[in-house]
Amino acid sequence: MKTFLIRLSLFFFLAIFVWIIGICVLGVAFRGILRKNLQYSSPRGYSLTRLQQADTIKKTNVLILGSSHAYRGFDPRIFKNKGIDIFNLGTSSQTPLQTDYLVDKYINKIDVKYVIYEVYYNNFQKDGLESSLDLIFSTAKPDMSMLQMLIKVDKIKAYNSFVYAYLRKSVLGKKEKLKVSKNAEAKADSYIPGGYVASTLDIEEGSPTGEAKKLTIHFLDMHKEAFETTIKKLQAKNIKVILVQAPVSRRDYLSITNPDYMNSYFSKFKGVSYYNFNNILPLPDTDFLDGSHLNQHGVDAFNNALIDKLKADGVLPAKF
Amino acid sequence: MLFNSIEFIIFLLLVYVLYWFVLQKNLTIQNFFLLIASYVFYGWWDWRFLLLLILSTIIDYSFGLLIYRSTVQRTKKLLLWLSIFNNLAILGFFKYYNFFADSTKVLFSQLGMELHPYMLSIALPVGISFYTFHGMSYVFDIYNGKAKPSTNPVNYSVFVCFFPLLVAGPIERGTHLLPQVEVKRVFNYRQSVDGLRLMLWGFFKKIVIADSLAQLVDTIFKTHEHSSGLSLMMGAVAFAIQIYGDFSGYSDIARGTAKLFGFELLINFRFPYFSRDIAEFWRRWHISLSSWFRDYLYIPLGGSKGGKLLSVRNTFIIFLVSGFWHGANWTYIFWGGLHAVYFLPLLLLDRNRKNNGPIAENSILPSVMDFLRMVVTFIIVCIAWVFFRASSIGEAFTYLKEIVTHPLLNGKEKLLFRPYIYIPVMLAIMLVVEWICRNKDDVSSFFDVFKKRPVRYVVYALLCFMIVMYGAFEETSFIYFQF
Repeated sequence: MKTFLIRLSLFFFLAIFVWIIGICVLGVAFRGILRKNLQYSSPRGYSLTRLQQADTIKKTNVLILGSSHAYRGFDPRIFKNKGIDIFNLGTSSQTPLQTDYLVDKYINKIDVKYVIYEVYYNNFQKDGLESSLDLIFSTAKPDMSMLQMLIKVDKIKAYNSFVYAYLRKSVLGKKEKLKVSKNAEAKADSYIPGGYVASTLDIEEGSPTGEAKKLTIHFLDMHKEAFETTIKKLQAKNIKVILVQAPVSRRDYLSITNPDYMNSYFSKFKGVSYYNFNNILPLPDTDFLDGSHLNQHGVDAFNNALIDKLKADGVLPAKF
Repeated sequence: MLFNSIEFIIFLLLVYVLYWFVLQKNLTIQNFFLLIASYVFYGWWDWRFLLLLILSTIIDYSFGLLIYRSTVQRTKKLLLWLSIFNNLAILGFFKYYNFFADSTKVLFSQLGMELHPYMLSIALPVGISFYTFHGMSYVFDIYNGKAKPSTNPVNYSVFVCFFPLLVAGPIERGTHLLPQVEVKRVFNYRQSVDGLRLMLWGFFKKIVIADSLAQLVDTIFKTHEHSSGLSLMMGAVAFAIQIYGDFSGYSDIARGTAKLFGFELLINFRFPYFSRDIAEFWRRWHISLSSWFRDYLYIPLGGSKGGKLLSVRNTFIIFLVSGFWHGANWTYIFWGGLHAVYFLPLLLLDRNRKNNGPIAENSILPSVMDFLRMVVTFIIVCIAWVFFRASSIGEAFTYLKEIVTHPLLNGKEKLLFRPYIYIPVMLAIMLVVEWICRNKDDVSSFFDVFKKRPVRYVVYALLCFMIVMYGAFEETSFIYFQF
């Protein structure tokens, strides 16, 4: 029995060693499905550029958190015209787990008094893998706090990719470079300093078609827990939290069978303002580049309405 | 609790440590602990069905004692029938009630009459077909004088509920497992190593092969109307491999886990796709079920001793019942019937015992004829699997018709198969390892090919790595859990 357990323990360490070596070999030699549970490539959405810029930011008036609805929906140029300096910390499919990780990472580095948290309902239902992979590639150095976040996501692909990223960045000291995909949608995107991604796509190219499937929303407990933790952390630092739902197409929004579920959830937090722009500013399909992301025309309309509303309600000061 | 879950790994570690390090000195306490652990394992899924499991255990245990103590043959027989009735009533109520109610409704509607039978809306208790068959085999063996009843209800309960085999077999016999429960287990290094090897191989087959192919099979069967002939063929073949990887993978994990606790479970699979005819296939596929039907249904019905006609009748009965055992759907019955039809020529020509030994016993590769026989057997098995997988017999026929009538290629194959291009490599690994071990009971001895321990450990580690890198980790349930 003793021999069995000793050998089993030795094997355990050998298996970890082989795992690490295997990840290195496959990571370097193969691409795509040939390294099925290891994904390490530049995703759409300019997260790498955004996080590189975030590392240099010391102060901003408003910090934006959330998913692609955040980095495609809040244009720093429009806010700047209204006298507000914003930085957009949105990343692709960012679920509350990743938001909480980013808040931990940046909230002590960036001097900020207001946070707009874009609460796209779908991201409270996702497993968090896509966003984790985005962050693994885009973060300068994967660390223990990232690993803690990944344990909550608990996907083998995230673990493998984390190990590969750690070896590349922290052990070998490599820095990643942005590679923009050659497809038309990616080519239409451009990064605007402040974390925003502008798209030149218009409705003819990416309009929502067909009828959307009915959607019943049910937020995952792990996301609710992370979301509530983030709000508490921000409030503990005297940061005013504003929850905003950027408009999605009417087709998508009207497919939700239980909008009251999310509206009542987001409205329940003390000292937190909640604005659902699907109700405040329903936008026509011509303001979208796909089923849920605004095009530039839509962003103009939404941002101007949002700033006016927040100032009118006294949530944001008239002047910073 | 699924074998392919973190919960199971933690559970296994805890039970293993307590079993060997804390409770080894007292057999009674050790068995009681195994029983509690098995109940936890089962109750993890739905604790309410534990009551059903306990009830079924108590009934069979009591009938076993009553039959043994009875001195009058007629009373013994009556008790046996009562026991069978109890078991089939439990199985019938939970598994087949809705099927019968629905089939009656359809029959009446075809006769122009409207019937609205009451339908049950309850989940099928996991493993019900397996544990009722454990209990029934025990009672049959006592009735036939092959075994004595256990005098210890805890030991008997462990035999029925031992967690590795509880939900999907192998279907054990009282004569095989119960004696192992009743004696003190001694730690055996070789047995534990073999157990871990089997578990590793089982996880590879389940997580890398079966679960990866499951996604492809689901896609093809869902969209069969729009799929090309090639895609449909691949779908049928992929399902054949998926169900093998899934069920034999489960059996390997179950047998491996049992070995860790000092138990030997019955062998359930002996590389069935290396069979040269359908009779050989059934001697290698789900052996514990086919031998159960042979011993407790085919032989009592007269087996092959009453002439050809009786033999044919009995063969059809066991295949149809075996199909029905799998699930309350006409597709399973048709699947069983189709296998009986496959079996018929062999039976009539007295060739059903022709291929008893392993293929290519004294050579590395099979002869051309054996290879062709193996391919033909695999093809007809794949055709039968289409009925097993389809949601209705009609859909299965449509699927098979579309293989021939749809264009061989429609240009969508690249998109469909692209995510699975690593699968042929994994399949090749499985095929080579199992071919090498075709003369053995399982693959555990394969690893002895690597004489030096460090090399062997690296091979294990590489297998672990392949699971981690190419596995599908969605904690998908095992196909046979639904039966």
